[in-house]
Amino acid sequence: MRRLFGRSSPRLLPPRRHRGPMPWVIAIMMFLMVLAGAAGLGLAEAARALGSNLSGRLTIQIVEANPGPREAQARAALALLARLPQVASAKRVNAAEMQKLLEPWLGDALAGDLPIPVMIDVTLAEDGNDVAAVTTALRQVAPAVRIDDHSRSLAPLARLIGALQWTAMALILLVAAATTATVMLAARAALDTHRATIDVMHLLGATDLQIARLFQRRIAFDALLAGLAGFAAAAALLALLGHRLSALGSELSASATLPPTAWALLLLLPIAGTLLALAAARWTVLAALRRIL
Amino acid sequence: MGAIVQFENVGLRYGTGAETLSDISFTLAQGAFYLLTGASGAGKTSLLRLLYLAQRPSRGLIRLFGEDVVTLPRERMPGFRRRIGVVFQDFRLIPYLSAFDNVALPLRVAGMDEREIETPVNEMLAWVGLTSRAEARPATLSGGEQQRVAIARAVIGRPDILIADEPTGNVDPDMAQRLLYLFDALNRLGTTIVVATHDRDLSLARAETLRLEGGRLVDPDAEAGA
Repeated sequence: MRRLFGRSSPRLLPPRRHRGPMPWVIAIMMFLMVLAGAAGLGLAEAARALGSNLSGRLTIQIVEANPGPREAQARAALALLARLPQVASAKRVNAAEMQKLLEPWLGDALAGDLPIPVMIDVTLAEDGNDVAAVTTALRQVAPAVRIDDHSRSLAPLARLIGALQWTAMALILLVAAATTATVMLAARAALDTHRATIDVMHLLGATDLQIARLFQRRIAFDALLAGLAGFAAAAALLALLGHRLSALGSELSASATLPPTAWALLLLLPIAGTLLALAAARWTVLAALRRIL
Repeated sequence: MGAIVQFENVGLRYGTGAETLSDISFTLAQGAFYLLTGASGAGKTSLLRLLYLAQRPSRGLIRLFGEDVVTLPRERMPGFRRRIGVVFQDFRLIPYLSAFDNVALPLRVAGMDEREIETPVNEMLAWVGLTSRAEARPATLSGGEQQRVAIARAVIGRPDILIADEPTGNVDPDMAQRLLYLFDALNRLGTTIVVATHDRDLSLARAETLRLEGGRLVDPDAEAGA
């Protein structure tokens, strides 16, 4: 039976002048699937970068209008932070850095006249995630302390990224479902077109599986070509967008670029699409043949 | 000779219409030669379709090669069909395959290795006198040549039973007789032959006759004498 489909045996389905719309539809679907996959993987990369940059970091402010107590509390807080086991490092933001931070909002002139809080950048130890304990200890030595937990303040953004990733995944599944439906329609149309040949093969003793293989091989080949074309178009677009994004020079855009492993995963999409088309064609043909004696 | 085919009270109805075949009972002996006669519309093609498993009967029992094929699971049908050679009335050659590949089709379906296919196919084409037309597509063959390709395809798998539906319908009387001798030669090699024909002049001394009239089997001698 293997030989029925061997290279040396003739094509049992006629050569085609027109392949019909299926390969075009699959190419478009694959294009969309790769874009959705790239978006999902890019967001995952951005979320990872965001997490590694900001998790385990705190910004402490001593919000006290009176310069004397503000300095005293700042020193006490720094001394305490140096002793706490949950803290890996603590660094006071110096006056020049504060001036630079406030300059866009307050300008040169105003910045020097305003009571500005003391800011301390804190990096927590790897096992020092107990922000509450750090807060409690700080409040005892510096009542005017305010603590900005970066991981908490960025939680909504992380949730948004997570939702976008799920949306990308859902899009991929929807497009895969649409591709499956397209293949099923194409397989049914092919069955109708070649009904006479199928009848003869059945009467000569061909099994359903032998006949299904003829169709699934042809459809899988079309799906592979179409999938690779869709992937190439999407990859070209992504490369162009990546180029434009890198021109922005922002940290966020840099973190959203796709690593090689993501490209390898995206390359699996046309292969997965081909396997999906093959399975859909096989199932459709076998289901249709079961209705024939 | 043992029975290769057994029909008992077989009836066939298409849809909700009247029965096309009614109360058909007969037995075909292994290695025998049968002519299935009857006017057009008598039910010959329907009976042959039951024989080559293109159709299940509406009622009755059909045993083929000693097994009940009325309730035979679909999965087992291919194995039975490979033991049956069929020459269709309209030949049913695959139009985009050469004569060689059409004849080779049953061997490929049966899973024969490509290296082992060439010799028997060429021998079969020589047997039907079509060696020089091996690469020709059906559309470029004459009616008689197409018919011989169809016969070669039907017999290349050395079937236990060969069924031919009106093989002499589209050929001149000389060719009809030659075809009959071709079937006779095959029959002498042990294949059971069933040839359906509406040609009353077609005859073969060794052949037994089954006669259909209005979907029922009738006594061929009584008909001949009428």
